[in-house]
Amino acid sequence: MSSKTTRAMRWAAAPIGALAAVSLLAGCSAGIESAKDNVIFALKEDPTCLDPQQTTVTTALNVGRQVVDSLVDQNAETGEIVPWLAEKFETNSDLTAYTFTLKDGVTFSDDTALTSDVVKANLDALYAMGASASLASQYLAGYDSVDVADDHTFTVNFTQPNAQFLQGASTMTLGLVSEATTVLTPEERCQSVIGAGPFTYKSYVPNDSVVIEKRVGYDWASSLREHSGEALVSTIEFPIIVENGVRTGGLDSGEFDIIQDLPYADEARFTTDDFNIYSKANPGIPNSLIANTSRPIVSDAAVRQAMLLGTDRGEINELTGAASGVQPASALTSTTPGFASQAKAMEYDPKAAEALLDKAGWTMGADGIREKDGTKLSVTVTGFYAQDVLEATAMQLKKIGIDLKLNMVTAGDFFGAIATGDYDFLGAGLTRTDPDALRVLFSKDSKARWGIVDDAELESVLTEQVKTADPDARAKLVAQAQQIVIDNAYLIPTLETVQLHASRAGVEGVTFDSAARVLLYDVRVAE
Amino acid sequence: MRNLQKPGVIIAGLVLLAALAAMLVPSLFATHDPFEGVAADKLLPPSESYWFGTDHLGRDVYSRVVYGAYLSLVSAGAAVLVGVIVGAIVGLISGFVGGKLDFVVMRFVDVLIAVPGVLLALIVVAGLGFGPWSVALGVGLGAAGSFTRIMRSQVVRIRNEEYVEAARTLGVKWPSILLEHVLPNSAKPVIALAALELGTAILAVSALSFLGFGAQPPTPEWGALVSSGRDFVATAWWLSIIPGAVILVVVLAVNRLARLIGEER
Amino acid sequence: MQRTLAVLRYVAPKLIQFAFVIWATYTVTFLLIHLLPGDPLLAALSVKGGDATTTDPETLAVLREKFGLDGSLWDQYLGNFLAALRGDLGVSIATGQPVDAMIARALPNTASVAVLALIFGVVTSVVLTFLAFLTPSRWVRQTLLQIPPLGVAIPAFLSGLVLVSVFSFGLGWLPASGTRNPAAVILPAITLALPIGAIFFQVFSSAVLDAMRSPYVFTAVAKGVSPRSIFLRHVLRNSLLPSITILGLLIGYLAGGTAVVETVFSRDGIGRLTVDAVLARDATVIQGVVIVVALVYSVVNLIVDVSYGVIDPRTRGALSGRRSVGSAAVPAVASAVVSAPAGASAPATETALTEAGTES
Repeated sequence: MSSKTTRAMRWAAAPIGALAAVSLLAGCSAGIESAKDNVIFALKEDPTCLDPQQTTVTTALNVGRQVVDSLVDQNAETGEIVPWLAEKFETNSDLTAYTFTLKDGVTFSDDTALTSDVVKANLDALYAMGASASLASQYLAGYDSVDVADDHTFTVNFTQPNAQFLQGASTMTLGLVSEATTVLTPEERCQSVIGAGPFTYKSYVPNDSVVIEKRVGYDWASSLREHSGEALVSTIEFPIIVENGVRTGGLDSGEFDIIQDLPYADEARFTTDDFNIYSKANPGIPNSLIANTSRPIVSDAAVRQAMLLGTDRGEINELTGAASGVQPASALTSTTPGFASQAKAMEYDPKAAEALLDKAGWTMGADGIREKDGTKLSVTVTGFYAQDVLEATAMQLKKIGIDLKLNMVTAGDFFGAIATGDYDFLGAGLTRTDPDALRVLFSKDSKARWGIVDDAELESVLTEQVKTADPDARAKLVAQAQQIVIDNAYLIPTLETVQLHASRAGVEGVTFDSAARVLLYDVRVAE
Repeated sequence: MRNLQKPGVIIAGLVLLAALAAMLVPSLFATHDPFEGVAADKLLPPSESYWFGTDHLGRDVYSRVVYGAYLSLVSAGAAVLVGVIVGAIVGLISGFVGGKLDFVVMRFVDVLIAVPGVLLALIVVAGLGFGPWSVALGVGLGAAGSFTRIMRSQVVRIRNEEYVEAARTLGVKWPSILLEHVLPNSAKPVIALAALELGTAILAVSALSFLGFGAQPPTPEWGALVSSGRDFVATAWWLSIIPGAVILVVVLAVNRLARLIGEER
Repeated sequence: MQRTLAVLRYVAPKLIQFAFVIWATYTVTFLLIHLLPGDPLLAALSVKGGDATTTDPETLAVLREKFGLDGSLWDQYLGNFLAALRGDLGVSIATGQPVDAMIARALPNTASVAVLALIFGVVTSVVLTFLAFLTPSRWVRQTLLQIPPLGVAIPAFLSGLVLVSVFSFGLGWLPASGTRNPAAVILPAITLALPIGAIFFQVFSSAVLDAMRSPYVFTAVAKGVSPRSIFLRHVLRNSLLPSITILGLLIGYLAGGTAVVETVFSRDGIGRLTVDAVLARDATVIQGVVIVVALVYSVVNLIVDVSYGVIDPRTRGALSGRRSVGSAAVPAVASAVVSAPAGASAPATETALTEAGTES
């Protein structure tokens, strides 16, 4: 019923719509408007699946963010959770039940209303998707049911404490889609979804472009945004430009307004007044060599520790990092909540590294590679991006007699290797806004267990922190986990990844959420 | 001998000699370690100490190009070899046996030719996994069709020659006819084609390694060098343009000499 | 009546051969994909989600059926082949979209670049040849004739990078990427036109050379007809016709070249579709692309072949005889030249002619 009323009211308001819009902009947003109605935002890869709930592809999450709204929003600076589609939310003391009260008058772009039942349908469908929605399944760990109290009030129940659900509820992964979308198959949902966001999908041509257009009548932005009401531009075009040089060249020549992923190498030439650079440090696990200690050479703690000490993170950052980047100083990046510096324990010290190897019986061979009992000190790292970081690491480790071989594969083969456990080290990072990333990476029960270690102490600390509601107590546990990981060199951090995006100088209002995903609701072009 | 007086031929010969030497003993020509970088010297333009400049990790591009000759040329050579061997055997048998077998075999050869070489190579790479040797096999299979045709046409021509007929009537066995008459006579056109194919194979192999189906980094390979340098086209052009130009020069030299072989026939 | 019969006798075997080539291409690709080590479904799934090993057998069975990968190899082959005959190329394992739709989407983009490249290539080589044969200066002629070998030796990724750096980012004259701006087709087309034009030039210029030596040109020269009108009126017509026969071959070359060009210019198209499919081990898409490319290639060749035979009285006369079974002279010329795009028109045509000679 409520949807019908809003619709009727909107129709009634149509004759004075233009006037109302002008006064709204003038009144609410201090004259924010765009000189250009169409913004071109070049993407670095094909999103492949437009459903933000299922996808793990960064680009698809970035595009999907514009189309779905979430129950709550998170302040990217403070980490504070604020209302969005839910005007009120609360949790019980052991983090097993979350109660939300929905805002009035929110509709999806198919003109159906947002109700508690729709949220239930969303979460049920999402949980049922299981592994094909791997990000969501982590946020929904222990999901039990949604109790619908009335049209606007409901409670999400978990069978076990879930500390990260509220933060998860602020992401596009738990962004809400209309009931019509929830009944589709996962493949169908990849083609298009119906959300309640400030934009709707207009077209998607794989490998070519995605176009979104503004949702007429949108009026439920989160309070963290600059303005309220409808988005400021009519359409945003996302051409898919895989080639880095073409993307930067197109920005330079004015073909594109904004580009995703500016290569670090080009950072310097876009620091002029003609361009804006947006640099966001990825929270979570820094780019690292993540150990599989079930492998013979990797199981030798001395080798791992020598690798930790023999890696010159300062130099790697200088060679392959962004200008604003800092070298990693723990198993979490410096921007992750709960970060506890381990800089002392991982300072570059090739002499100490060599001493460790000497002591462990790895003697220098004639070819510059150490060996022990006829075995070469040669390990392989499997990765699918940041090849230059791995090459730089290999160059440094060679100096202390460790042969680090690169195995660059496709993203698919990378995850295939994880599934079969067929690797010495993985060369990758993990973007998460919560320190729980460590548990995801190392716990035996995790579905994304990349680091294969047998450490009861670490396991208990990691499972304990996720159940701990008290922030201080949790921070202590998280710090302890970081210390264990670094002391045992279960992962060897290499680089804190910074995401760089760039735009022409006239483009304003490009903002980022806490996971460095882009928000285009406020975007506009001043000419 | 008159050919040696042509300046083009001499230059081409020198280029090819240099490329072969770099392939066989790269350490003799390289000025730096191709795998070791000096962080302070990253992205330097070509200079006296770094002839082709340095890459983003401070490695000497010239030395990487020298060391890259091995994989680029050996896998292109291997590809041609695969083409020659498969083509020669199939063409020999098909042309010699003739009849229905010949007809059927040649229709399958039509297929090899109907599928563009790069596409065929991609199918093989998809099946066998990435790496320089699957690339070589794929490119080689793509070339096998033409070799089969040439070989077969030579065999058909020669087996009808009078001296072969004469040998047959004298009771000489088929294997020795093949070895003594057919093979030596058909060798020339096959070699001429092989020389021409080598240039094409170098291009195909580097195109595939440019697309990322070749060797694992940091192993240098010409196509991969161009590929990894293309992010720097605006800021450090030498990273991709110089290795690309090296490929161009070597292919030009190979083609020039191949033409010479063709003319001498 | 006699004439129709002769034409029919000439065309029929070619049609049969055409059908055979398509069938055999399908079969060979199928065997290559399925006999090479590795399960196409597991390979593609691991690429897609990384949990192929944890997918339960029932789900796998459902997926196998969906992608036409269930049953024995023979069942799969027969089922997929019959579906392909109906125009159904199956569903992409990686993206879940129908393969024919993916190809239909990409084909126009590639076709527009390819056709433009062909036009650029052919027109440039005709103009070059025209200039080379008309210039009184031996030096200019030699220089002009040296250009084409360069075109065939230049790697497409190099020419593409240079063109895009200079004309898009340096001068800002032409867009570099995408399909949004129609002008974006120009630079990729030029990149592809370099090798295409070079190959065409070799065949065309040697045909012109032949034509220049012919008696009627000699007569025309004796009569005092100007070189320009000799070229335009007699030579051009008589040498373009045989040169057109390598059209099919150029198409094959174009299909291969698009993989690199579409990557360099970030364009959607058949080439990138193929590269992506190989990266994702997407067997159904690879199979679909190969069959479509072979189809285009064979159709063009068939048209060229038949029309050439029908137009040219010499061929028709020779081939309406009883020994016309099997592959005709024309594709033989074409294939010998494709294998020798590298510069030597002399040995290529020579071997081609010997081969053709033995066959007819």
